[in-house]
Amino acid sequence: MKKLIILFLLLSSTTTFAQKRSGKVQYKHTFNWIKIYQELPFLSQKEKDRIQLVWGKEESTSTNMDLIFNPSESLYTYGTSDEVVRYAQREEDFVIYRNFENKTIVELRETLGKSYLIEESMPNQQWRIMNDLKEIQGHLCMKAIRTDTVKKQEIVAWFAADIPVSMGPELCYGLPGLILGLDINNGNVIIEADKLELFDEPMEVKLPKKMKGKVISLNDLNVKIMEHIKTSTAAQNNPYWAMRY
Amino acid sequence: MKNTTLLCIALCFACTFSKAQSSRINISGSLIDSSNNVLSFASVLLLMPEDSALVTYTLSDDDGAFSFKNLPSRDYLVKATYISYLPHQMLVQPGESKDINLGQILLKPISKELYEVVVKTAKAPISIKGDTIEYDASKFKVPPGSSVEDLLRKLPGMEVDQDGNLRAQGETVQKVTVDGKRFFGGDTKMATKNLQADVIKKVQVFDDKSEASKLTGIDDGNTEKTVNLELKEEAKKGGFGKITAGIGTDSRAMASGNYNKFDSKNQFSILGFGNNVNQTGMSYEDYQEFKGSNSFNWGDDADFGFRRSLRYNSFFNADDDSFSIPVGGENGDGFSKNAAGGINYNYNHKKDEISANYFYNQSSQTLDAFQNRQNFITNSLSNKTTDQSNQNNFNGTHRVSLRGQKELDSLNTITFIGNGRIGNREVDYLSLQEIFKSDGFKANQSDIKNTSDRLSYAFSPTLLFRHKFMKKGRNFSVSGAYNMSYIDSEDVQQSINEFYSSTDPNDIIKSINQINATLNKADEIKSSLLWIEPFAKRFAWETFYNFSLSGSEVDRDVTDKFPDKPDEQNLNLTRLYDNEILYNRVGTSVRYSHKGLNFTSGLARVFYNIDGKLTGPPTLSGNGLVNKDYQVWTPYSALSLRLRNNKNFYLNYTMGVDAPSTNDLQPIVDNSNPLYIREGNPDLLPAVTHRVNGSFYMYNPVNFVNLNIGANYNYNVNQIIYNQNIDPETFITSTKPINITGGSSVGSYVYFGFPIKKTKATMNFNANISYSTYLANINEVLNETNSSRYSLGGRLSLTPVDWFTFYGYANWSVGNTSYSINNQQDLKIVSNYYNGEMNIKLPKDFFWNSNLNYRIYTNERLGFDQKVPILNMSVYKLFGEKKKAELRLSAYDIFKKNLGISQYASQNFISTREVQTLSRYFMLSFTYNMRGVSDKITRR
Repeated sequence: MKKLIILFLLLSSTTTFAQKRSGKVQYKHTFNWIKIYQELPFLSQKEKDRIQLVWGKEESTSTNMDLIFNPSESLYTYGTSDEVVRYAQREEDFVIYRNFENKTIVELRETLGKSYLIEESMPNQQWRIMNDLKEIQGHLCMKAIRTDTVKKQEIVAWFAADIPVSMGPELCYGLPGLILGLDINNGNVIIEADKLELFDEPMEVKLPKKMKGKVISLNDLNVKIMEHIKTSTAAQNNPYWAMRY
Repeated sequence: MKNTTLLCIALCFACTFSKAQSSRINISGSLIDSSNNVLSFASVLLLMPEDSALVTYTLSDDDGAFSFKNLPSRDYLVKATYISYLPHQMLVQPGESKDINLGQILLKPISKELYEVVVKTAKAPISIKGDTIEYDASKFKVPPGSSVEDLLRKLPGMEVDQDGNLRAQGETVQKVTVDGKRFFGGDTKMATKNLQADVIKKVQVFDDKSEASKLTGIDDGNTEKTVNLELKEEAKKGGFGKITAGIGTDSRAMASGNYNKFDSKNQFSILGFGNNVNQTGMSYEDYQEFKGSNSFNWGDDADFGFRRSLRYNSFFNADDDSFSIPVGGENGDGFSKNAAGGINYNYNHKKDEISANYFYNQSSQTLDAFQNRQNFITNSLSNKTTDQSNQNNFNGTHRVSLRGQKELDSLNTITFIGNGRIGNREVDYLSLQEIFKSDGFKANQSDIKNTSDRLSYAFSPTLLFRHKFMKKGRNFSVSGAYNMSYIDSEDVQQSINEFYSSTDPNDIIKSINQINATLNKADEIKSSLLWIEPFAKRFAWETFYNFSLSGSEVDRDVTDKFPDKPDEQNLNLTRLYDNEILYNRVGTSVRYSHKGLNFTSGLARVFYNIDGKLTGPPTLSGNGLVNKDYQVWTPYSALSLRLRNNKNFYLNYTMGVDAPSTNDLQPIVDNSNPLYIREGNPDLLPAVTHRVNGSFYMYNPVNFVNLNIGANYNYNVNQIIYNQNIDPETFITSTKPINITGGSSVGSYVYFGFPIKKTKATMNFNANISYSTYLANINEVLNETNSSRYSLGGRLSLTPVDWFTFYGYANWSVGNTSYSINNQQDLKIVSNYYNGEMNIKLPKDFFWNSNLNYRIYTNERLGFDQKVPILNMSVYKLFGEKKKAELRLSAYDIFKKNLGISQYASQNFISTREVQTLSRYFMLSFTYNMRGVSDKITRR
């Protein structure tokens, strides 16, 4: 049995006893808009079927996102694209900085056509820990579930307990390990680590110089988002064209 | 440890759960493995037993010890996890003691087999609940028709031997259950060999208590490796369909039906309709459902490089035929009977696609029309033409299309697109045309009786190959296409023409009785190359080459018929014309694209070689040979900018070059209308259009305000226009295309929309202004027609409650036209348009819909003042729980005012036309829709 353990330790060389708590993760953010349309309450079955029939073969769009972290801070924003595209879309402002030491967040989020800047203390996220296991980038991940009450989303996170930092991509954090995968509303958006590098030396985490936006509290922004989802749905518009899913 | 702060927060949170219990507890323990080694730096999680909510967590220290301090006294789950060990969890219930020591907790290493299971299923999570491992069957692909055994073979950690015996994680499986129940006795193979893999949702592997212990209730410690198969609730099948049939007054009737069936790879659809209520095509929605994933295909354009022509697909524009299935075509003029049917199949698997469809449609149309047209010849001379005609058309077209795409590997893709059509058209045309001089006297009159019979077919296969290089962004594409069309027509042209002004008595009455047999063959072979080379970080070169060689051959055989002598070939009109256009274009452009800013600028050299040969009448002057070479530089530029706050800006400049059409190049006199004689011109040069286009769009998603502004400008060089020579006495018009420079047009629009009350009332405004200058020679005098048009519109959408909606629209437009050769004829056409639609949802699934369309046309100078109110109404009821059936009573054009009016002014004429058109009728129709009829009354 001991031999076996040693074998495993060799296999998973990135996860040795040395606690590497700095690193860089590239996530692939995949947005399945066909599936999202299937869940819009105001579309008739005929319209949903048509979207599925006509657009079903289109691939979901994916973007690279980068998370860099040291033991106390993390920064999450757009990464560099793998593809050379013929038409470059504008990237909406989305910079998420968290300081786990001071328990503060700085977020620049373009939402509803406007850039908002949030600077406040970090709220607690309530997770439930499940029994499922999954391997991502050589790390055995445990499953955790959280409900986002603002966008009414069921979020599944896969965290690696062997990277004991509470960082994560998008708006998720606070688990006993680095979040390497996210699944929002059963596959509508999937975020999964594509590349993962860990370092012994603490990485420098610096906010970008350009952090311009209208200052707002997280709570006020959430109220705006909830209001927008309500009115857009009533106006029979897809609310997610104007905000991040 | 930083986690202590988290712990504090968690504890505060946890306090809410400890209402009565004020006492605090501490939990501690240590972690070891089966060889008694301490496990340090292992994560220990404290969870709520009810919902596994995370309370706090810590890491074990160097001795493997951990502790949680000062916790509210209540039950907890302690979960310890360590790399390459199975997570272990235990319930902790506080007793008398304040300090709870869990002692040494033993973590079991993940066995090699199980670890492999986890690693191999990287993309497919497995669930481990205690000793149960659960696989999601949908994540393991097996071919259709596979048995469960085939599926199990794919699962990591599972082995199936030749005899079908199962082993899981190295142990023999003793029991296979289906939804927890034994399947046909005890044989494990019964289920695995007989059940289809596609009905399985999950596969669970666990150690079950032995049958003996279950019977006795005494746990004998023996376990049996068990596999449980969890079935899907219902295998999802997609399929829907709809049928509608209606019968109305005046023998009006309609029927339509469609059916679609699809799964993840296959789409099948069938559609058919028939009516005599002027519906020639299907709705755009039905079209999308019919073609499914084949409705839109990106990158099927085989002509690479920036846009080469303003006329899209110029090859087939020579006639009205097209490969695409007719869509829309409601409310046509006249009376028509229509029938159509088609079948479509799509297959999509990964990146491989196959689509095939067949479609047939036919239409017979009756047009009884009266046309009044005023022509200005010189400042003092004008005439008026009236045309009373009766036309019966029949059109029938078969279309097939086939498209396949295969990704040979991740770098190479090949696409095949094939289209074909065959159709016939029959036309019977009776017309009485009269031409009046400005003083009101009749100058001449033609009594025409023509019939035409035409068979045509065309096909067009295209092959595209795309290669991506290993270097990011470097691409190479090549395309090849062959287009072919064939038209065989026979026209019988009979007319009696009376020229009252003629001085020669022999010319007063001319009678034509001819058979005109024309064979028109055209083909084109073309190819394009494209190379994309990225350079710097955000730049790319695109270099392209287009080649096309098109030939057309017209064999026209005209025979004169006489009542008193045998038929004679008319040598003056009989022609054989053969022409060939060689087109070459080489161009390059540079593209910059980065974060919403995209800019392209390029230049291309276009080469045309036009070769023509005419074999015609012996009297024809010249040798009938045409040989033209033409070269031009064409620049291109486009800028698109996506700005913050949903603002978009777009600006582009194109220079389009269009070769003259073969019809216009052929120096053939077409006298099928003796009062209007057309002749081609072999000296035509390609027409060049400079076009500048700009637009700005913004949308505010919070207050729903949107604004859209745009402008465009066109300037024509060597525009192909039709010179007119009008005989001042006989008013016979002869036209001939020539090139002219100077025609232009400029237009702009503004759309602005905002909610009066969000989601309840929305207002939209639009304004358009356009000016155009059109040049034409009338009897050798250059006429400049200047037109201006101003229009203003407003739309109000009211959706106050879910049972009532109202949409109102009003548009006012004024068109001014002035003619340089005859400024007394300057005119002003005013047209106003109002539309109101109201929908009401009544109790008991009754619905009401009414739509009023009110058009007013006025033209003071012509004394033209028409008001056309068209009111349609319907009431319908939905039946059944799922509202699958609908019974509808509709009334069309209740005021009986549909007159098929159109009014048009251009060049040197104004014309108004009235066609007897389908008017008031009532219809009772029934619809059955498998998906249910939508009960929504809002527009989208």
